[in-house]
Amino acid sequence: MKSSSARASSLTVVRALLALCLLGVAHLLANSGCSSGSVCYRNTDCPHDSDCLQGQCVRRTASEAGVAGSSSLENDAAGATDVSQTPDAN
Amino acid sequence: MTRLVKTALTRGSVSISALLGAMFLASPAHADGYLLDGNFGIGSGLEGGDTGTGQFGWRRARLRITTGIDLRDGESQADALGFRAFVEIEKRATLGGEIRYERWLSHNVGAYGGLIGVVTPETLFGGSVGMDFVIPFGKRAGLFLEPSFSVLPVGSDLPSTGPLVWLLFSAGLKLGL
Repeated sequence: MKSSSARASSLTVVRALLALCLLGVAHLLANSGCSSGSVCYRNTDCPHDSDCLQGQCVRRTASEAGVAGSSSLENDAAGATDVSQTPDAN
Repeated sequence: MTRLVKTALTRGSVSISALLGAMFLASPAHADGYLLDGNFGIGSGLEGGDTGTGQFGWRRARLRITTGIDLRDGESQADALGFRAFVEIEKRATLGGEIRYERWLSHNVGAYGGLIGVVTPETLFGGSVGMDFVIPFGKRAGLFLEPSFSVLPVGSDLPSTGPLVWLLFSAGLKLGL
């Protein structure tokens, strides 16, 4: 009888720890922000001819032009900067 | 005289052929070699990084298929060297690998640390730590559960100077080979 109550209490502790872990993950996501699929974190999130710049996929030619001369994505001289590309869908 | 030479030649050729036969026909020595375990599993989890805006964000990590082997020292089975290859199968597929030192605390619980990286189509390199839990099915097979934490600060796949972080959970089949 005593051992079964001890087992039940240890199960309760395990469940409580699991719940705390889930809460911790939820807190982490809430504070850090779990992004949607529209933000890129890696260059391979973007299509083959694009790179990830400031969370957006930008065509490589435009991004190279941006690095070479233009100061921002919006001010690309040729107007070729394309930030409308979304990261590859899953 | 000729007879003596013939006898010597015969003895010599017999000795050499016996030696060569022993060398080439004998099965390779296993001594106390390595115990080999094979793994095959899938994994995913959370992927965190800085997109270049200065904010660190998280999202679901790409689904990956992992396979590899563990080499355990026959004498000291607590120590092992693990090799893994993985393919991320979402978005643009990537191929990567991992080499790790594993320390098995018991037959079914282990911890590891090692180097991890993606090699194509872009590169990404860093370190990884994790744990392995094996639920045995019979003598040679088991289900492995593997939580891991990786930090990857170097590579052409990174859009900014910040590292990429993986909090992954993998599961699959482990076989004693």
